[in-house]
Amino acid sequence: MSEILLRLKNVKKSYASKEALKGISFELYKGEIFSLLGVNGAGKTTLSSIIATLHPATSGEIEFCGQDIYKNIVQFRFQLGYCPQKPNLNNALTLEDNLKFAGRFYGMSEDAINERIALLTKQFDLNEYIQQKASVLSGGYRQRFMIARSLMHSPKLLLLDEPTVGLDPHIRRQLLAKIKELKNNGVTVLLTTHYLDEAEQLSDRVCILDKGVIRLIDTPEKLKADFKQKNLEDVFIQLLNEN
Amino acid sequence: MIINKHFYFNVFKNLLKIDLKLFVEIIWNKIIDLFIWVTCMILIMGYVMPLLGLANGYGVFQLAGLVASAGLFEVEPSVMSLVSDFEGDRLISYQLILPVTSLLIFIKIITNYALSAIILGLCVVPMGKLVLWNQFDLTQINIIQFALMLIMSGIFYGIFILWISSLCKNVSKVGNVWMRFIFPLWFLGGFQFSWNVLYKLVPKLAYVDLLNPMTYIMEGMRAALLGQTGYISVWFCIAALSIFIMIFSWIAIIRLKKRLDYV
Repeated sequence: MSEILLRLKNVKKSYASKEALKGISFELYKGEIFSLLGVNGAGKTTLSSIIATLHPATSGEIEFCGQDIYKNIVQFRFQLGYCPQKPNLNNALTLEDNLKFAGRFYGMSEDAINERIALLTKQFDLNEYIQQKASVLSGGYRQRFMIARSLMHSPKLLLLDEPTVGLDPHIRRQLLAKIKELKNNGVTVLLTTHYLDEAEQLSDRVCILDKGVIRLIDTPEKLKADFKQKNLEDVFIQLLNEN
Repeated sequence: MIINKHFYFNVFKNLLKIDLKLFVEIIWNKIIDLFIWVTCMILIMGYVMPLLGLANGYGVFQLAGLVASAGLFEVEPSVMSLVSDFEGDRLISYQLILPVTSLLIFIKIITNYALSAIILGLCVVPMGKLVLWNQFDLTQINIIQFALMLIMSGIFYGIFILWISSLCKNVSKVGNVWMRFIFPLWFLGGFQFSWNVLYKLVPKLAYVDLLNPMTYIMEGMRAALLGQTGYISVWFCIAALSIFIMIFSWIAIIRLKKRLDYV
């Protein structure tokens, strides 16, 4: 395996009435697509929002390239792109302005911003809408644009939280192809999903979360072989039934 | 990337630029609303009520109160916009993971609302002059004190918006903001009377009224616009407002930390 990019050690998250994460530990390797799987309420979004530094962990450690992320959170945020489940675009701005400001927030020069906008617009087929306000985008384009914005500052690690929820099958397929391309461009992707087919198709490794606990981490092929199942969905169902 | 004060300032500037860009888009509507409100109030208070026995100059007195409270009337729509963002659009969740400290994001929010309040307060002055004409002597204005009062009241309103937003559990609760917060603060804060008059008539209530931040905004603004005589000292008002700003900021940040659970 290649170099460790991100390491979580015994990460816990508690709310007043609930323990959402009960000690999560795993490593994320450079350049891989790692999927967090689980049913609704398993803790996937909580975990990705903690890694994104949107919410703090109650306890535990998170290291990025061997450094505690909380010791220099601003530097860590430069390396991170986060695409949350609920779009948080500025609907009153055009797509171009959304991207321009995203670049400025990360200290990019105007030339670099324009170059990056041209590249991302092409890569995510956004040319048609680039001068329009974000509020006019359909679900599929919105999701594409969210990913484009999170890539604006060329992060090393991209967190995608349920990027394909509610999308039509053909748009979903297009988006999955885009995510695959990111890996080829050297971006490490942590994907949160409850679509097991897309995890199987995209991931180098998958992590199955259940009620805030990791049940399994392995490659989809290894899991299928171990559980003697044809696909990841059957592995998942068998695993849940066993618990 | 070198992260220094210049970088933080640049992010702050760009965040504020977005907010102001959106404010500029709606400013004419706000100015029209303000004009209707100011004109109606001043016409009645400056020309009709004196005919019914109210002291001459009451229109100017009210005008200073209107300058002071222009920002207060922005509180409810601003709280609505912030709470709906906390609940729905979640633009705040994008801003809170930018490579800056969370505190800078809240300072930006306060600055945005403070600037809006300052601009609207400033707009009331020429409107009032237009309606009251000879009754309102512009040479009475102490520019420095007026500028300081505008800035302090703007900052207070910005923090007040943040604090109330942290209290409103959802958008449906914003409807209570007017009656439970804005109206009592405004009406008891001396919009229609000076603190000295209240003290002469009901001293106990006047002392209680010193706990109302609007008292200092109204009194300080009147002293800056109409002259110090008869009002609480501007400098005392600024000092008192500074204390309110510190207290409300502290409470707002604690409540928002709990509500948004940010790093």
